[in-house]
Amino acid sequence: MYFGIWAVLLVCTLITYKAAFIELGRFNAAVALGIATFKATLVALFFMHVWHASEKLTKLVVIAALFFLLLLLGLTMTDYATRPWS
Amino acid sequence: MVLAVWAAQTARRTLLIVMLILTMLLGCVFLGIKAIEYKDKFEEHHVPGASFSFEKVPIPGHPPIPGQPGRYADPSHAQLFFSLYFVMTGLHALHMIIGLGIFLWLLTMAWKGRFTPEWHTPVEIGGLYWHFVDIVWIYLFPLLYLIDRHP
Repeated sequence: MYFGIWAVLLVCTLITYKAAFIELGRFNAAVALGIATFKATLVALFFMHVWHASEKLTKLVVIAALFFLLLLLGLTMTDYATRPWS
Repeated sequence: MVLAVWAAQTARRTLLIVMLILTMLLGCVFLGIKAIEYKDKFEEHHVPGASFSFEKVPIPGHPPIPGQPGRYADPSHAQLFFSLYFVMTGLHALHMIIGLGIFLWLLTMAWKGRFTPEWHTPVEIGGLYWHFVDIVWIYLFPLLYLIDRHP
């Protein structure tokens, strides 16, 4: 199974590389980051064993970490998005 | 690395050692490529600072037209990019070097046969650390190498 996940990750990297050369305007970054998030999810779920984690505590910790990461990025983006010169 | 964790879980000592060495070898290959990349940046004066120079590099998709200013990347913007590039890839590389140190320690423990299916927590945590560094690279690679590459 690990080799399968690894193959999917490699294919996703290739797609990211190919997609970067297609003109999509501002959606280029969105596509690249979307694929990156999908890959990161695969790594966390399978290589970091979150999927098969038996304890609920592990899942709680992952969700809490994601929540605080979102807070961090979200509040940073509120600053960036509301600057008059941007 | 995940195969090393699996080997530890299923009491395969030789496989654990082989996988740890393989992880370290591939990590060294990555750092070697990084070193070549940095060397090129130094030679092209793309390191931010007093000797930074960034001239006549056309913006992708905008072939240079003689007599038209503003069709080249702004050197001050380029310097900002390279500052972020060196901080982000440098911090990532530092984490990888720390990871290699951790694996060296795991390797000596595995060599002595300290890990059992019941107790292999260091291998597990080393794997978590290594895959965290991996996730960081998953984001850094498109952000630093592929942004605005499209024609």
